[in-house]
Amino acid sequence: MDVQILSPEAPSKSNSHKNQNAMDVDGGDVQLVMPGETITSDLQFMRGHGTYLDSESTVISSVAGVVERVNKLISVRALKARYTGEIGDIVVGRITEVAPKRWKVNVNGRQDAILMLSAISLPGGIQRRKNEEDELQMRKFFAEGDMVAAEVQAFFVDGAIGLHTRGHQFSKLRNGSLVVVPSALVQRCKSHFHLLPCGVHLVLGLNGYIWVSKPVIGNPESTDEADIERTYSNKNDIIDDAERESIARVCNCLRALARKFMHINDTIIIYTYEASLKYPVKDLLKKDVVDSITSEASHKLTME
Amino acid sequence: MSRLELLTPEGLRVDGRRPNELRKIIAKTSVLAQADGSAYIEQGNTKVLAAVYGPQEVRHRMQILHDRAIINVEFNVAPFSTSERKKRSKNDKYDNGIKLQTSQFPRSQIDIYLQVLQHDGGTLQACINAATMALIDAGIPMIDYVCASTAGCIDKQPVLDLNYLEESSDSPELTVAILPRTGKVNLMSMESRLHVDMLESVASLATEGCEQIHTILDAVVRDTTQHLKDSLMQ
Amino acid sequence: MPYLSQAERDYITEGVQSDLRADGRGRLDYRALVLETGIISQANGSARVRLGDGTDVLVGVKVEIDQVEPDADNVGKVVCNVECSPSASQQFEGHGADDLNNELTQALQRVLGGPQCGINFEKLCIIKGQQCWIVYIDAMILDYSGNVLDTIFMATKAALFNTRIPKTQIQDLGDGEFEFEVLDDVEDAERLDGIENIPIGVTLNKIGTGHIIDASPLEELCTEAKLTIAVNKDSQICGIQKGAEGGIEPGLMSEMIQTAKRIGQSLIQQLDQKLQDEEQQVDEKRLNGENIEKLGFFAMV
Repeated sequence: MDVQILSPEAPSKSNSHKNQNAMDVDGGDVQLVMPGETITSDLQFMRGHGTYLDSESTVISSVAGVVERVNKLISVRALKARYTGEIGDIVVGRITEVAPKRWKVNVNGRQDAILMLSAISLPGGIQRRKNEEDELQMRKFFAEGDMVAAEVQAFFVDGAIGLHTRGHQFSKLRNGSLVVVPSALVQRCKSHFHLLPCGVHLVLGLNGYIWVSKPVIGNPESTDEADIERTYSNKNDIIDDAERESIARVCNCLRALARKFMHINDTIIIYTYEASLKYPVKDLLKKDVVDSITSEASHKLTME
Repeated sequence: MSRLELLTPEGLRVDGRRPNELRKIIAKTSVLAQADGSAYIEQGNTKVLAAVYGPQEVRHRMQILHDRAIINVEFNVAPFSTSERKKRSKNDKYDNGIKLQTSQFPRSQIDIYLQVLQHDGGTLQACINAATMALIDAGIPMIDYVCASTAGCIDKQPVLDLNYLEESSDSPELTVAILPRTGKVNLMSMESRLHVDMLESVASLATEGCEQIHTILDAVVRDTTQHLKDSLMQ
Repeated sequence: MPYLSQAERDYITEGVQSDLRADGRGRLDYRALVLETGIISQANGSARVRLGDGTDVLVGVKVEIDQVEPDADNVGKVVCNVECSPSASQQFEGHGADDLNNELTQALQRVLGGPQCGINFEKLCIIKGQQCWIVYIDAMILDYSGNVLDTIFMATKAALFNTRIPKTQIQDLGDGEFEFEVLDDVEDAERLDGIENIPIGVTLNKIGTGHIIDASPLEELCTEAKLTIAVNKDSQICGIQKGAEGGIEPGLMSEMIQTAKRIGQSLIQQLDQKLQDEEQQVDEKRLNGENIEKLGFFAMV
C-alpha cells in the first residue's frame, strides 16, 4: 500500500496581484472592508447587513468582506459565514429533531430551520389538511438524520427560517451522499436541481449543502402505489459500480472547487468533471490534481 | 538566588528588546477545517490557537436568551506548553471582553475555544487577539477589532509586552484591550501591585501596543480576505 | 451525537462492499498525510501530523527526571496522555471528550508503556534504585476528520524520533553513593534507544461484510466493529484492541489481523523514510548555516 507522506508547504503569495489585474479587466471595482472600518459618511446611504451606524451617522463595517451597493443600501458580505436565508432559496438540510407538528432542520444557519407538518406534501400529492394521524406518524415522513431538499418559505419572528417541501422536486434525499461547502460559494441560479451529462443528479443547496446522487426514478406526484411508497422511502435504488464512481467523482470535484474557494454552479462542475476524467477518482483527493483540474475548469470558463 | 537583571544599563531587556518594543507577531486565519472560524497567533514564543463555532442552535435549551446570542468560552493549556510539564485543569473560563453584535443572533450560541500551545507570557492578550481573528474569520459581526496588549513596569521604567521571565519576576503586568477605531478600552486587568503614579504611563504604553497590534492583525485579515475574494471572483 | 440517515448509511455500506468508497478510495487506501517534526521549542521532541483534509494531531514529548518505582528500580517509564480539543469537534466541549480521551490514552499507553514498544527502558534509568527518566507523551487532537488513533500513533512515532534525551554523567562517590549531572550540551543529547522498533497502530473498521482502513467521520458512524492492531517494523503484533459494539467472526478476525500487519509494515517503512529524509534536510541546512524554519500552522491548509 502506498501512502503519500508530504512536508507542509509554504503558502504562495504571488498570485494575488495577478488576479487583481484580471479583475480590472472585468471593470469590477470591489471594495474590501474590515470590522470597524468606515464605509461612508455620506448621509444619503442606508445601512444593510454587515454594517452599523455610529453616533455621527457614519456607516461602519462590522465584518471583513466585500461592500455591496444596491441603490442607497450599503451592505458588507462576509466571505465565510453561516447561511442567512432568503425567501425562495433552495436548501438542503438534515432533520435534527421531531417536535410537535414540526421538524427542526439543520441548514448550516445560526439556528435550526423549521419545517411545519403543514408545509410538506403528502405521498401521492394528495391535497388535504394534515390530521392527528399524520401527527402521530411524523417519523414516517422524516426522522432524525434524514436529508431533505426544501425551499425557504418565510421567516419566523425570532429569525428562524421556515421551510416547505411542497412540489415534486422537493423530497427526502437518498441514493447518494452529501458534500458540505462554504455557503458563499454556491451561486444563485435559475435552477438548483441539475441532472449532469454523466447521469448524476445534484441539488445545489444555497446553504452550502450539496446532495449528489443517482436520480430517483418515478414521479412523486403520481398516485401509483409504488411511487407513493417511494416519496418518503429510506431505501436506496440499486446503484451499480459505474454510477457509484460517477457520484464519487462529482463529490470529489465539488470538494476540489471548495478547497480552491471557487464559485460553484452547474457549468463549472461539468468542466471540472471533464478535466478530472484523466485521473482515477481517488487521486482527486491529491493537492496537485485538485490544482490542475480546477485551473483547467476555470480556464475553460473564461474562454467562453 | 541572584536577582536577574531585567533591564541592562543601556535600557535593553532580557531578550534584547527596547522597553517600548513588541515581540514579533505572526498570525494566520482559517487554520482548521471543522470550525466556522479559526486563527493562530504567535506573539514571541506565546502561541495560541482559537476556534469559533456558530452562531448556531443553542445546545442546552435552558440557556436560550431571547434577545441575543449566548457566548461560551473554553480555555485550555497544552501540557507541553511550558518548560515544566504539567497537566492543568480545563475550563478556566473567563470573560475576554470581546465586543460582538450579539443582538443580531437571538436564541443562538457562539462558542470560542482557546488552546494555548506554548506559554511565554501574555497569554490573555494572545487569546483575545486570536479570538478576535477567529470571530472575524467566522464572519460574525463585531463593532471593531478587539486588540489586546500588556505593559508592565521594571525599575520604574514602563515596558511593553512582558515575556514569561519578566512576568514571573514580580513585575506588575497590566493587560489592556481596546477598540481601535474609537480607542475605547474594553478590558483592563491587573493582578499585581503598581504605584498609582505609574498607572497612566503603563496604561498608555499598553494602549500604544494595542494600536500596533491592530495594524498587524488588520494586515493579516485583509490579506486573507483579499485572497478569498480573488479565488471567488476568478 | 451527529446523525446520519438510513439512506446515507446504506450508501456507505454498499460502497465498502463494492470496494468504492464515498470519496472514491478503495477499501485499503490511505489519505495523504502532512508531517512536520520539531515544531514545539519547549518540548524535547514534537511532531504534527495532518491527515486528509482534517484530522490534526500535535504530539509533544518531554523527558523529566524522577524517582524510580520501588518494584522496578532499574527502568524508566513512558507516560501517555491524549487530549481532544473542542476546536476539533464540538462534541469534545466541556467534559464531552473525557471518555474518548481516556480511551485513546489507554490505547496508546498499553502499546507504548511496556517492553512491546521496543524502547530500552533500562537505558532510561540513570542510577539504579534511585533516579530515572520519565518520557511524557502528550497528544492533542486539534482538528477532526476521522481515524484519530492511527494518526496519534504516527505522530507519536515521529515525535519520539525527534526526541533527544540529555546525556548524564555519573560520579561514583564510593560506599554505593552516586551523583549525576545533566549535561547541557544539545549536541550531546541522545535519541531513545530502540526507537526503530516503536509500533504504529492500524485501525480496521468493519462495515457490512467488508473492512476498511483510514475511515472518514461518516464511515466511523457506520462502523459495526473496529480492531486496532499495533504493528512494528518486523511486522510483530504489539497490541490488539477491539472497539465498537458489533462482533467480529473468527475467520474475519484473522483476515483483519493479516491485513493490518501488511498495511502496518508498509506504513512504517514509508514513515521511517520520510522522517529520515526530513532530518537529513534539517541537518544539511544546519551545516550550511541556513535558517531552519518550521511552518507549523502557517503552512497551506
